Amino acid sequence: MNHSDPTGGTGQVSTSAYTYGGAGADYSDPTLVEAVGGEAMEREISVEETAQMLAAEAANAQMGPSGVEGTAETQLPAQPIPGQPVIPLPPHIPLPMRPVSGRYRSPASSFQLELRVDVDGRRPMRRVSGDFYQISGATTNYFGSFIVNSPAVSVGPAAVTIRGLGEYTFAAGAPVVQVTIPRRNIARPPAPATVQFFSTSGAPGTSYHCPFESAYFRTVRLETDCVSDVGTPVFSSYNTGSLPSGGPARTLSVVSAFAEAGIQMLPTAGGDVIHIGEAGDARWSDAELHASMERHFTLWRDLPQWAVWLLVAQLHEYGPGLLGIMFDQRGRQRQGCAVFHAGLGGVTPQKLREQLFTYVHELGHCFNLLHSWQKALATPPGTNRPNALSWMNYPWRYPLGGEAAFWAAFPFQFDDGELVHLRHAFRNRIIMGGNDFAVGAGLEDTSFLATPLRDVSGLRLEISGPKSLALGEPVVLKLSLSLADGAAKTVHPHLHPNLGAVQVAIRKPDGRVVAYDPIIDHCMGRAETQIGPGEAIEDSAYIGYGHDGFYFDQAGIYQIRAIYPALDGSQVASNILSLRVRHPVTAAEEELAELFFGEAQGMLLALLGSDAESLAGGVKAFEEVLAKHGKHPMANYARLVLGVNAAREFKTITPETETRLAVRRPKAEESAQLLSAAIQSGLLDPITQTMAMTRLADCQASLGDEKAAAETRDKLARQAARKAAAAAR
Amino acid sequence: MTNLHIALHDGFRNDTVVITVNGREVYRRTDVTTNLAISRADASDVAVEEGEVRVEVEVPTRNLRAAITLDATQKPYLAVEITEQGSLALSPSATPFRYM
Repeated sequence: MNHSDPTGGTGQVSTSAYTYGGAGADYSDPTLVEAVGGEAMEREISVEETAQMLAAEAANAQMGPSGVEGTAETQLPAQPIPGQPVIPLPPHIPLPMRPVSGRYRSPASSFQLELRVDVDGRRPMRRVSGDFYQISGATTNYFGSFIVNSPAVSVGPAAVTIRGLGEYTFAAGAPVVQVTIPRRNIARPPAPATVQFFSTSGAPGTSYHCPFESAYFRTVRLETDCVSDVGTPVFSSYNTGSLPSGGPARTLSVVSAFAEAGIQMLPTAGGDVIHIGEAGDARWSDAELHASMERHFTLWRDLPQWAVWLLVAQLHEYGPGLLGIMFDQRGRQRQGCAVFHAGLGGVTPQKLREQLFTYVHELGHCFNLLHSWQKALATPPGTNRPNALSWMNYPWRYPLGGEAAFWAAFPFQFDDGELVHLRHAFRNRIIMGGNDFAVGAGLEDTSFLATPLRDVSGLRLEISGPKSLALGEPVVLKLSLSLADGAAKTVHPHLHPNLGAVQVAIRKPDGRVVAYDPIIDHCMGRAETQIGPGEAIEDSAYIGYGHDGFYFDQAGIYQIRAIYPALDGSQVASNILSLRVRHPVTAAEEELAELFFGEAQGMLLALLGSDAESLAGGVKAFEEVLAKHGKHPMANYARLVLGVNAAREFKTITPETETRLAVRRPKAEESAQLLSAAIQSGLLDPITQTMAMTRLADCQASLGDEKAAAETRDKLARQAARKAAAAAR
Repeated sequence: MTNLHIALHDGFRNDTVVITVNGREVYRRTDVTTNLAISRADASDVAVEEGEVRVEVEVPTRNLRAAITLDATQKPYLAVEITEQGSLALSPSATPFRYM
């Protein structure tokens, strides 16, 4: 066993044979799992496989329609016995198949794998995820987690196979996950899952045999205590049909509301009655709540664990308007929350509905779920969903008609992004006492790259850029906002991610999704503009370097998606841009990558040059690029950075002058020379090209070369006219 | 006199906030930060004359400023929020704010 990588990415041979070839149809819709018994080929298959499939079909024919196993009796041939009356057999009633979704766990070995399969059953999220635990002697430590966000699901008569590239909390050598689960009818116990990891080149890594553990994806112990001055009953259950709602009528408790999400809440010993004296003046502060939790929460430990405390209290110091709070935001956070009956108490249907909502909402925060309209404030940021009909919204903030409209449509459930988080978030992002509140609260953020289920915003955001780049080459994204339908709309024009509105997610070659975090945030005031049919707002943005350093610092395939927050709260998702960063092949390419990858160079690319002393090393590196690799296309990026900076007047604070200000005048000649070459290279995106040409014309004019300036401006005008003509077409 | 309840909601992060009512400074705090668990950063109750009052809110840490004239008798609750687009929004209300 390779102790540094539980996927066995260093080439470890599988410990159990991979037995199912995945030759079945690829049904991306997991609701078809139960319905489909046949197979459709998605690749050429060998004769051996054909034989296997024929055998499977023959077995299938014996078993009954749709691959459903029959009983032993129905499989016997109906042969009449001479002299005996023929008694017709009862009609064959096939037993339904078990869903395969749920939680599986491998036996304790060097590594133990907890596997969560989510491809059928209630609201399948079409994902597989897992947590690794490293076992060493008598100690068990959490090692890391993975998730497969877009698996292919193949359904055969004998087994379900789920396969896809995982995202990991660690560098996995064998990141491709394949889960195989034999099909069983409901008369038989659930089958174990076999998990086989593969490298991206197809070499098998480790495999795990994981017996079925539970139909729930997670199990959490819930302890509920009550304060002595609460004068109304602690919430028990509410019939969602008591008042108009958006879902089927059913009786829901806190436990069953989470059960519907696939989370098992196990009520544990608790039931303490806490004396109100612990709150001092009968109004609870967060500090008092925290102290009370440490004293009364039987299961409380200063470590991450699947246990949570819910306190039913009367009044918080913020007054009766505070209905509940996840107060545990220091130390190991999210282990406790409280609800307040000063605002919630009562037994009318409205009050019971509000109690159910608030109890579930606060516990949702303990699972690290943010409010529906605040998902973008998570680290990394998620996608705001202010219109979500979710436990995590505020009914009175519902943008599509306010509180009454919310309740009339609310189906009493979490939204899809939240379900993904609850079922599949990396363990430390969700377990109580794990990551701080809002840190890693957005595993749903990986669905940033998933196509929205519904988008009627009327807007279209398109991103484009080069398909292939050399390692180290600056990544510039072009963003374009236009109408998706015919009606003119009011929009804000802030497309550049540095302006704080548009977010950009980048999926790296190792599967990790990171958010582009610009080194400088420009806070923009509110601005609105009209966008009409055939019109577009465009911008381009360098996204290669940000707070996290270089985002495209390894060779491989990257995926990029941007989200534009519209004025009505819609989150308009762009297309996904795929971009390949090439391995350096020659020594020159290798050296160029080195010269471009310094921190100072990243800053200079983001700022388009600077005289700052701290960035002098970057300037030197770019000068070296020009001196040693001047004919290489990448040298034109260095020319652009140095040329734009040379064109500007640059002020620095200095103690050496009376005004304490040193002003470097524009170096027009140097700038014109550098920018001319960069522009002629044809390497720049159209928006950067326009900017560079404008600067060039200014330089030429300041040098007194009016003819050259006029020619450059002419070219600019012709470009603009061509663009306008193309847009009109 | 009547009470005007001014509540700072979403969007604050280590910000300085200054509020004046009818030209009188009634609130000045630094390091104002929204508690994401309840979407509330802070609140202040101000005694004001009945009828129309002018409230000005400034967030110098973000170079933001906004003002509103409201009838504090009709709408004695004022929510202040920094929006997703980075602007200040002032929303008067006739009913108390709720949080969870």
